[in-house]
Amino acid sequence: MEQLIKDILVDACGSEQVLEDGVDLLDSGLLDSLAFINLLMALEDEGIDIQPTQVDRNCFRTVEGIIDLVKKLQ
Amino acid sequence: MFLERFYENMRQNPQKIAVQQGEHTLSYQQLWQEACSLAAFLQEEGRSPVLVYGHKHPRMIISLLACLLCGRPWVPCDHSLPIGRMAEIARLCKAELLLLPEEAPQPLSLQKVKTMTWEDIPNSLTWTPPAYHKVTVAYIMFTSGTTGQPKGIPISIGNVENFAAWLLSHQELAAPAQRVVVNQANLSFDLSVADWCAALLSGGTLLLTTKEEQFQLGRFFQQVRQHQGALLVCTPTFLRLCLCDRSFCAQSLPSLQAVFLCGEPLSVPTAAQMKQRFPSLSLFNAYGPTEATCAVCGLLIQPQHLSQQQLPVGDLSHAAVTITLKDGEIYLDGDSVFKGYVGQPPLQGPYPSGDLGFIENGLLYCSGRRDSQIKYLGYRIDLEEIRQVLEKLPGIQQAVVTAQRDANGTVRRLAAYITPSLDGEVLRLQLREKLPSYMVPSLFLPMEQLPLSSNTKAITR
Repeated sequence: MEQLIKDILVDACGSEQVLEDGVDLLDSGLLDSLAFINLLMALEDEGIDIQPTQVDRNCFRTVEGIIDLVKKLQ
Repeated sequence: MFLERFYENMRQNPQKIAVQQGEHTLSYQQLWQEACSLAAFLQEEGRSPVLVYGHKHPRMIISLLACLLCGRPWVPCDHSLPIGRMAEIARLCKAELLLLPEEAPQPLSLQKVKTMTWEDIPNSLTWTPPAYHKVTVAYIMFTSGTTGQPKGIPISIGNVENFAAWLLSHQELAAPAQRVVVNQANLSFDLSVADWCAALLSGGTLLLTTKEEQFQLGRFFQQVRQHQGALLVCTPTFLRLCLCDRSFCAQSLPSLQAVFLCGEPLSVPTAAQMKQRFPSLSLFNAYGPTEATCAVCGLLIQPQHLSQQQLPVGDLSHAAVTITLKDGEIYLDGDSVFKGYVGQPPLQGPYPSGDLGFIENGLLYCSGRRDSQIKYLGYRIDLEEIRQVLEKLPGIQQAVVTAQRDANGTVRRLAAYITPSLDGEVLRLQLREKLPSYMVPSLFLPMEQLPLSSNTKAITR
């Protein structure tokens, strides 16, 4: 599961940089609006349904935050 | 006509809320009085363009109206602009005054520019109406330019009036504009001209929404619901983001009657999804460059358009200007078109937009650009400007900036190819001092990895 989410994130943001330690996905601009839309749509294709209004967008600052969020939703 | 109409709306309904942002409100009367008071000061103070550095505080709209009242150009600078860029803007338009309507995120002082907070402004002066001309500059907006500098676009009162008359000639937009118009765009981005024109000229309320509210979509929807937003003005990217949430639908936002979209292409799937979520909503797709005041044409998307490959961007029988095609390029001529860039010779003849297009059954379609300009997240970016700024950074010998696109042709991200290879994180920080964040590439790669192509134009697009 963790690997799947990492793969989806790299694909949505278009950069391996998202997996580097200490990267803030939001501040760095890696996860901008378009990447965020792509991420949500790719997760939905995997049966993971994230409604932006149901979660704190700050969960998307790090890869770990996104993985934790997905685990919580399952 | 702009000020007369605003004044008439104020006379008819002085207590009506003109501007709302969170808990801040301004009635038509308050807005008028505060604008007159500020205009009186600005009139005495000088003649130069007035830089206003803020985000979505209602005072931004007071400063806009005050500038219109005294005939000094309004130069809105959103908090997202880096100081380096603000300095360039001040220098290019020879601004001598900077207003701070709200607390700035960073300390700011610009050479040869007097900085004033709201509290510094005396309010004991009396405004005297100046002589108006249609050619008086209403505002100057800056966009990305090919020369490595931002490009200043002065828009006259006459341009704004022509655009507003066209906008409000569409009943599907004019009716909800009398209620509440929801703003999304930064005020330094000319899409916002549509929301303030629509609200203030129709006697409606302008609901300004902040970056923080848009970041937490639930808060944005709550604002629309609480204040009964009727007309949403936004970019297609923002609409796509809203659609990621199932609660963006007619049942949950029953007040929403129309959406005005401009700034980048609207895709068929997004329009179709929108029609499904809001079956009776008017979806208005518009087109126009900043040089021709927000939008020059548009149309209501109808079910039959959804079966096409791409959506039309305007009905030529009802455009704000004269639109012609020359060698596939869209040319614009008429009362919404500006007279020339800041510091450059005046425009001669119709304005060549640089956009490529075609006409079918009286409808205009866009098919790309003839230069290195792209649209990313609704923002207009000239890749050449980023390249030039990069090449001025210490250590960089050569740079190429490209836009990476997905299968639908939508720009997904910006990539910079540089030589010699330097730490991307360091470059990113340096660029952020000079360029807005949406212009800072997310990838920095060594030049050797640049996709080879015999045509350098193709790879920079």
